Amino acid sequence: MSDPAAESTAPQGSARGDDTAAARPGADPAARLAVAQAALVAALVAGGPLPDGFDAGRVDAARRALLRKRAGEVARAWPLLAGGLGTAFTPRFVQWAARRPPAGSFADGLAFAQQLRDKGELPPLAVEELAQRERPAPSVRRRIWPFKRR
Amino acid sequence: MTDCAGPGTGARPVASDLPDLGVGVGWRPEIAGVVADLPNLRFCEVVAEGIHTHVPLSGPLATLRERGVTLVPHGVRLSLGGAEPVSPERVKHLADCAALLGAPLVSEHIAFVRAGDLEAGHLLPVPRTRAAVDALAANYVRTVEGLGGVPLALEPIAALFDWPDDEYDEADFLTAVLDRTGALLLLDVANVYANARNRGQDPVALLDRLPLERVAYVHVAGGREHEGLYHDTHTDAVPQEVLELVTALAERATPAGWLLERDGDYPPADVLRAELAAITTAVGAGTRAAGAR
Amino acid sequence: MRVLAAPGDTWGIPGPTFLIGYVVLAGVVVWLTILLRRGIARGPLTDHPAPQSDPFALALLAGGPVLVVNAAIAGLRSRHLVTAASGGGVTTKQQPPKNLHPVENAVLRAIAGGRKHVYRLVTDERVTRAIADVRKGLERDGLVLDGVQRALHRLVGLLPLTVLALGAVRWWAGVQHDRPVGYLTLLLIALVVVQFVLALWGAPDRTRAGERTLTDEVARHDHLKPEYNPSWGAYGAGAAAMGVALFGTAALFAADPAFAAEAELRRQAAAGSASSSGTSGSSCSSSSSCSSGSSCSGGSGCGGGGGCGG
Repeated sequence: MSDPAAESTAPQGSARGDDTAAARPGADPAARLAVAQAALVAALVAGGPLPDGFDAGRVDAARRALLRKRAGEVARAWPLLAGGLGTAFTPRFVQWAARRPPAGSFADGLAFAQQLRDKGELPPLAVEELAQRERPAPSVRRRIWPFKRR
Repeated sequence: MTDCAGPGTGARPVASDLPDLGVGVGWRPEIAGVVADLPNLRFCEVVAEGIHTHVPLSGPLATLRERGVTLVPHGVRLSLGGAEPVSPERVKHLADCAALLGAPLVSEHIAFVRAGDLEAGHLLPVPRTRAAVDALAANYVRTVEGLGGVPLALEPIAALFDWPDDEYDEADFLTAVLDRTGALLLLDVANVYANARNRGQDPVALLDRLPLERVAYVHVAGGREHEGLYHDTHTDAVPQEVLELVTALAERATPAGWLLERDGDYPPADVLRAELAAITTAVGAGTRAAGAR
Repeated sequence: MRVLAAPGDTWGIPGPTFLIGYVVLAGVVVWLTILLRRGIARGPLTDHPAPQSDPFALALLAGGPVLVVNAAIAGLRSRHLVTAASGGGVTTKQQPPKNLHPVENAVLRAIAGGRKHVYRLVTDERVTRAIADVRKGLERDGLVLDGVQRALHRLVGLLPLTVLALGAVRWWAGVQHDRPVGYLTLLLIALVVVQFVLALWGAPDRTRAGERTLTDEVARHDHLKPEYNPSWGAYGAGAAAMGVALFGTAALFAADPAFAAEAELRRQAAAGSASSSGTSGSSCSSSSSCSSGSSCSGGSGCGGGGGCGG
């Protein structure tokens, strides 16, 4: 069973391309640790396969807990988006974010809101919030005054 | 060879070198006013990633510092337990926080938060293996060098799940890490309680297996039961059992400080004060019991 | 330049002399007017104004009746007495409980049963009465100018009329005697403009004591700044109203953004908060949740993985 995440982060030294990291007895333990950790994180946030030996139930519980926590952070960064969707925010965000690795609460919220808008499902409360944050920061305003007031 | 250069340059930091911090509370902007009004407050912990280090300290934190309250930066994103080396920028940020706050020590976690270009967004447990101890030790050295003399305390996190190839159990792993690195320990008694309760073990017995003489300070937090498991939520009141564990710990060790961690659903100010008072009482009971022996 | 009084000079004073004298006189009088008005506007002398604990008085001081209503709505919201109505405005299903502030009471009664926008609440009779009472208190404490002081301010502003009158008489006399009145005309026009400006330039609402009180209270309640996302549960019932009074509706938007947006409140910072430091850059300096990357906000669950609720 090949693990794509493991393949991509395999250190240059061990170019044997074996099936699993554990099958490379000569591999540097630090490298194996790196590979294992990468596989676990991929399974938790990027929809990667569950690495061998982990309790599927507990890892899945952890995965869901991470998603809920991420939803909470996005809700704080995008309050009108969260408020507009109400109780539907967390389930919908979790569904959208399940295979997408976190990019930070602002970026996550932005992408989520844009996706909703593209589907025509962005609540009216959130439309202005998205428009404001999509606009590039005004740089023209203070050109006549060369010094920053703050 | 005399090595009086202080901790972090080869000498082991000693918990007794720290000032007596008493009972403190985790500083959060949501309750900045409540914290500012706490009588006899000597100690606060501040999340390092929230501090802007390129400007002088201002606002409530500056006021606390002027009052002489000890402020300790608590990192959450360094990823000491990762196989990847810690980022020098993050270490520098932590060092800058320590300088800005005038902190006698800093703390971070025995955990990793990123691997292979992906951010987990949360603290994840490391495998309890020799390789992990090595990785931690390497990152510990890198961090301590960047901190330039400020001691670093490590906090073990609660187990979300176990790795398949664990070589140690929790207590032995922690001891191995601390022995290798010489680090101080930030012990979270709520975690100890949660782990013990969820496995049907005696929390005090768990406590006895830890290297308590290395405890720098202690986290105390509340939690609640949900679907048969105890969750260390940080958004509930501290249960009596955790307070009893505080007493047990105070009987066995002399940490410099005890910190109440509350992260949300903040109670009214008087309830918070009552919780701090309860912790103070629990600590006192333990210290007295130790003295009586 | 020496000017001899030519025969036929109006009043026997040569034109240029009069003009110079007139300019000086006008300047002195205008300057005096401004000085006197400033003295009136400053209000009574107080070195240390007493601390103001009434959030609605501070709201009136900081932003007027609209801010008072917004503060009341925030206070009612924090006690779960009002909800946002779909289509804007607020609505309530509750009877006013016993120990509400008169302003909150009035606002709740004004909403009762229906849904009301802020602009309609401001004009409601009960609410205006309650706000007038608050204003009387402010006048008593010397934080705002009362009616008498404002009238005096207006009256003193008309002082230059005397100089205008003199100039007008001179002008008329000059015209009567066919004397050149060109410069004088220009001067009079200028003076009319100045008088106009002074007449329109009303007295500021707050006295110096009022300004100082506002600055003091903003500093004393720094922890209620919206950037800190203050916890109403921790600070108690008065905190919501106080936050809005001192920091504007931005405080309500920070604490309960869905409610604020749905109720169609206008988002703004209060006048009094202009003195506190700017936002954006330094707003995170004491915050535990800088949203850079995926930083952990306040460490919730960071130290205890199982704490995320299973």
